Amino acid sequence: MSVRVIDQAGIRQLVEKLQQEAKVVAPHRREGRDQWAFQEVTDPDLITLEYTTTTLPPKQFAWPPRETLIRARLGEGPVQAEPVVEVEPLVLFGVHPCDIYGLQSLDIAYCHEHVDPNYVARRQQMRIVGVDCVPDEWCFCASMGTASVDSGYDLFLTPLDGEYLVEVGTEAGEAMLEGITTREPTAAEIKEVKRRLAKKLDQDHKIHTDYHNLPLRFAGAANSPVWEKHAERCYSCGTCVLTCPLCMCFDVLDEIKLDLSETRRDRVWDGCMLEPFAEVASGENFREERFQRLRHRHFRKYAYLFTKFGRPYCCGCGRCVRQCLVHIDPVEIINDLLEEHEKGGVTHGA
Amino acid sequence: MKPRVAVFSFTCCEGCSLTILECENELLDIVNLVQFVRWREAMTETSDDIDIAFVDGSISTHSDVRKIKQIREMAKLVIPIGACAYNAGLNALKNRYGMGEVKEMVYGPDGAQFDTIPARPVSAVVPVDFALPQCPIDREEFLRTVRDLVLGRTPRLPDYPLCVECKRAGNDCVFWKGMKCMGPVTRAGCGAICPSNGDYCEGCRGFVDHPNEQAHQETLKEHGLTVQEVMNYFNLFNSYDESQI
Repeated sequence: MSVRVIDQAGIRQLVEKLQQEAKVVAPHRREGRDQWAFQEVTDPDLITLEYTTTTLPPKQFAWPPRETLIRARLGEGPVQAEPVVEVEPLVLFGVHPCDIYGLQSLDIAYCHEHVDPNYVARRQQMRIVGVDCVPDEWCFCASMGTASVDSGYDLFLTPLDGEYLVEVGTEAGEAMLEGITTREPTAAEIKEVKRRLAKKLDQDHKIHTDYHNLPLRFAGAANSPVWEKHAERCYSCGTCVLTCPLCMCFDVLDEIKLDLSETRRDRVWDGCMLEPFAEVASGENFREERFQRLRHRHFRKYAYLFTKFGRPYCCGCGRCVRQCLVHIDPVEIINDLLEEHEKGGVTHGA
Repeated sequence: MKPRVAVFSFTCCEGCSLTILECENELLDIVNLVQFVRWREAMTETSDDIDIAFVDGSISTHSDVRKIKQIREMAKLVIPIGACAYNAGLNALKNRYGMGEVKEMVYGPDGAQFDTIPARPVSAVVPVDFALPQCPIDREEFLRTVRDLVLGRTPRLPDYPLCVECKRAGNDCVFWKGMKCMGPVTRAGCGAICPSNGDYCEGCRGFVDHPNEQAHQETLKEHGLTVQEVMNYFNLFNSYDESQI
């Protein structure tokens, strides 16, 4: 696949072309502290391609916070249930490598055994233009192997001086560039990708082991005091799970219309950090305590799903700690566990 | 037989009753499901034969105490609606003062004639079957509750903080905009209506079952509030304390 260079005018040209074919969403700056959000592009000049992170990850476009799965007529005769899949062609413009990894990981999970038709329909209509980034103090992509991706995008932009190197990832990406003004890159410009990556990998916020070791380090860590230490200040507010690009849990609600003519089955974002999440019909709650919920979340990311799908279910984007009002940081938690392990304080067989 | 529904008001602005009356697009559907038999804000007829009594307002006079006990006798289900009835809401702010002082402060020397006692939620006087929080109640939550009761489903309140609904709505945290917020300890269910419209959460839905109050006091201090200011944030809608009664 080819590599080109595109300037700002070319980016504008590209976005306008894509807008003819699909809804285009891209990062926009928001009010207050450095904060961005994926929003539909109205004016290509309002897009911010150089940003740290968005409040919500791009999963919202494959799996919205609330969506209807089924609608059914009630009343006389048998219930007529209709599946509901609302899809539109979409371009995600300006997605960071960690978030691309996040979407690929959701693909694995949502296509595992039961293929989720709503998720898959949206993902099949989605094209992705990635963009490289500069990590802030909360990012830990270097620790998770997600500082760069070699798939999962149609085009990938790397900022050069006022221009962008464009790597084409797919045939769809090749077609996107047709008719857009680009030029051949120089050898030095192609090297820039590697130079940036080397710089990006130098992060202070990092876990003190190779991430491949995490399942082994988590084995036997269930009874560690680390969980209670970090959970003491947890609100159980779910900010970490809801803003996580890889968290995928939902609740399903049946909403009968007030005139009793129709019912719909909706799913909404849910998460294991919320107190009622593991509550069952009898009123029992399998994870009643904050530390049990915090522990479950981390085991799921770095052990259970890792061993099930062969990759950690964390992309190191840092949204969880960046947005946590009480600064609960998975990097600190993991490093505490590693330190405890070094000291031989592991309780086996937990 | 449709359930016979009454709406009663105690110490409050009756804004929760009004919220029901303002369900203009849904009122016909509601009266297909239930029969209103007593509701001073909406009708002149009255009845003592009641299946469901929705009650707004705090109990704050001796006469209120007698009336709510009568309502409990009459109705099969008693359901407080709105912050005043749910956890005494703003009304509980007066409980920290002596009742004589309160009457003097509000009515001057003529205040002595008024019958007032520390404000309390309905549940402090009679057993209740369910309760809807918020100031005023959330219209959708009320409608779902009516529907669930008619269908024989148990209505439920969310037991997670407002932050969940802010995230689902795609809001940026209001703390990042320089405001302070009670969302992390407040029960969700309003759809994060205030943060979604540029404001912060004052906690009018009361706390979740297990709020991390300690953590939130620390957060508010970290964001520049004094201890007194932290207490003001906590107390606005959530100051009711049984021991003051």
